Amino acid sequence: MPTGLKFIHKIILLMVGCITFTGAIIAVTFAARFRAELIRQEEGSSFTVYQAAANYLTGHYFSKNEHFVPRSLGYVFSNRFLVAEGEGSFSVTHRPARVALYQPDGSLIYAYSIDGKPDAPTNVPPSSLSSNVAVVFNDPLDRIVVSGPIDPFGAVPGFVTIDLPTDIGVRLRALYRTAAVMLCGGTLLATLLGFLLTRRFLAPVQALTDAARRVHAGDYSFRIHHAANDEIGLLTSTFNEMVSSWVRRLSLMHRIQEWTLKVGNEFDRHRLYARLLDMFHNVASSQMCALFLRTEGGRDIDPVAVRGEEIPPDVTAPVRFALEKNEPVLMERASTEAGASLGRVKSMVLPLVSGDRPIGAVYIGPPDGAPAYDDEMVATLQTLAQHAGIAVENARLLNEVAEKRRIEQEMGWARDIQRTLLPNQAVAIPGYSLHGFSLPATEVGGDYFDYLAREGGRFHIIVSDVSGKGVAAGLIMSVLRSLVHTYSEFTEAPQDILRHVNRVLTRDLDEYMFITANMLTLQADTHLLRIARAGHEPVLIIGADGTVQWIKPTGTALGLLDVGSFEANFEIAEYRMKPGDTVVLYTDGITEAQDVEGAEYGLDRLVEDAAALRNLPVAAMLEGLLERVRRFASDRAQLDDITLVALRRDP
Amino acid sequence: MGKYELDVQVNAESGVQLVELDGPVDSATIEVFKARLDPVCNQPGAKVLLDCQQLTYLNSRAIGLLVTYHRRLLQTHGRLALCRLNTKLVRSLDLLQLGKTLFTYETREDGLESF
Repeated sequence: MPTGLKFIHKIILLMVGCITFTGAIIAVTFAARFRAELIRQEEGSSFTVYQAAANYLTGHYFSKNEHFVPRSLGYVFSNRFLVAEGEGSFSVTHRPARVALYQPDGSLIYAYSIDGKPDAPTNVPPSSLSSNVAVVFNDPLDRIVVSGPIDPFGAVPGFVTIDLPTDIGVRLRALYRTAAVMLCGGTLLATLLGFLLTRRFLAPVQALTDAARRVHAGDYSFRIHHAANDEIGLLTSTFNEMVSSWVRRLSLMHRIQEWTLKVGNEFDRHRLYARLLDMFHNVASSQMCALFLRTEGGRDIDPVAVRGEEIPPDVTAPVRFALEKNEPVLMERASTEAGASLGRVKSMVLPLVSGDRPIGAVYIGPPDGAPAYDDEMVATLQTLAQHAGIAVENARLLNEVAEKRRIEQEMGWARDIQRTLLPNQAVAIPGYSLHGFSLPATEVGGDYFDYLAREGGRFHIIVSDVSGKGVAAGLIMSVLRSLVHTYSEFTEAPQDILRHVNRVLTRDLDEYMFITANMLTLQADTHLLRIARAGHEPVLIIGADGTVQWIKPTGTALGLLDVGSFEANFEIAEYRMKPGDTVVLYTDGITEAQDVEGAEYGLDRLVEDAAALRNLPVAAMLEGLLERVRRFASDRAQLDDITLVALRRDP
Repeated sequence: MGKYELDVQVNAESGVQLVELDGPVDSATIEVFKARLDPVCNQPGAKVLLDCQQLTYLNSRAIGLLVTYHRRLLQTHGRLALCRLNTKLVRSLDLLQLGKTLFTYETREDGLESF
């Protein structure tokens, strides 16, 4: 708090200063006028004395044969001049203190002093003897000196100087003292009265100031009592109303804060809806409220939670309007109803907004125990609706994230499981090297490759592609693997294995799905390779010298046509492996890999690159092929599952 | 760069439902393909000709669908035929040995006359 004089004290001091200044001006003015009047009176009196002395001296001069007789003059001035005696001891005197009489040449004729010790100079300069009468006051104003010619017409030669005592100085000083004392006393009194009166008059203002301080310090229960019907009374009642309103709003704000914290920490959607309705129900004290949310596609609106009575049937239209226009719908009661001044909104639909998009709405029914909602409550509920929109959206997003994580986790498990279904290393075939890998485009792929070693030096190699991608294709791939493993146990020829597999798949597979496959069976000791092809890409064989052969026996995809059509057009091809021959098996993820222009890698590039890499070990050859395919596709994402298998007879 | 959306126009011509495909049928457009062809090809006895001149890609699931439509229509004495297939599509059908199963024609007129 700043220190120093209070405002009111400053006002008082200013007021007292003004009064004092005004008083001083008045006192000085009157004192000056009083002094001038006194001097004028004394001048008059002293001139009278001068006239009297001049008359007497004129008479004396002519009565003494035009001479001045000092002895006679001394008697008169000492005993008779200007003395009036009455009855008893009464006497009035205005006798001069000193009288001096000079010749026109400046020589002293006669001098008188009331104390008997005349001290007038015996000679004065003639120029100092004025022919006019002069009245001069000395500085402390206790003497007046009147001088002038005895006869203004010069009939009597000589000049007279009369020195008269006066009390003007004394009287003026007494007046000044009195005025100063009165001014100081008045100032003091005015100050005191000012303090007392302002203290009394401004007590309510001080009370308001104190109240404001207490409210500021957190004492919201404090109220001021001032019954007077004046401006201060109006200010006091306004202050009390303001504090009450403030307290009400503060309480409401705390409740809103509590509720928003509660709903902000709730991410289970159904519990969140229940809490939101609790919040609206509790804050609005409504008879009922209901929460509506858009359905997944956003085309329809569903009531997801209700609190209180049943949802009125006529609420649907305003809910749709609020969602469509993204505006609150306030349903008002008629102005003719009782208590209309208390507020007119009897129920409302408030949109719940996420970003700029309304995601739902809350219907708040009529208040319980009141005719309507006031403007403040409507504004509060709109604020709550904003929080509710954010909370609903947050919960939705969190659920989406959780769902996504769950799916990702499950996909991860599926990927791991599928990985175990593929061979992690090639089987050892005497005189041959074998390598392969599969890279799904998504977490789970539909490509399948496998190596199966069977009795008698027989080895099966299969590469297949389930139509479509993802989990469905992955599940079919696992079924295919089981069937291939099962039938290869007791069936030697690759075409027979695929026939058995097809019979099962045609029956069980979704009618839109099918599987393409190349199944090779190698008799290692005779180097005879038997090839069955079920609608799959042709088998590529690169010779040690770079010659290229395509092996493509007839055969349609597994599960695509009826069993009869499949088996009627199913052929087998045979090829005897020569030293250095490399069989390359692949899926369309290789041949249909696209560059940024949409051009496909294609069979020609595959042949060219495979031939170029034929002298590398099979693993390095396949890695090199994959590298070239990826370089061709540049930055484009892998569109389809990629599988590559290479079998080479040692040179 | 090729087109990324699939347009499917269905017009009746001489009692044949002529379906013109423009764009690729891949994982992004397969549902549009199915939604437009289901009402046409699931009508018993319908005669349907697919004009594939503007068809840039047909994925394996779409091929499976065509085989299914073909099979169903044959069962109800209807028929599905394809015309103006590009070389890639022809190769895909050949790989699957479907060239002899599905009815394919080089021109639209040949396709329409086949009904």
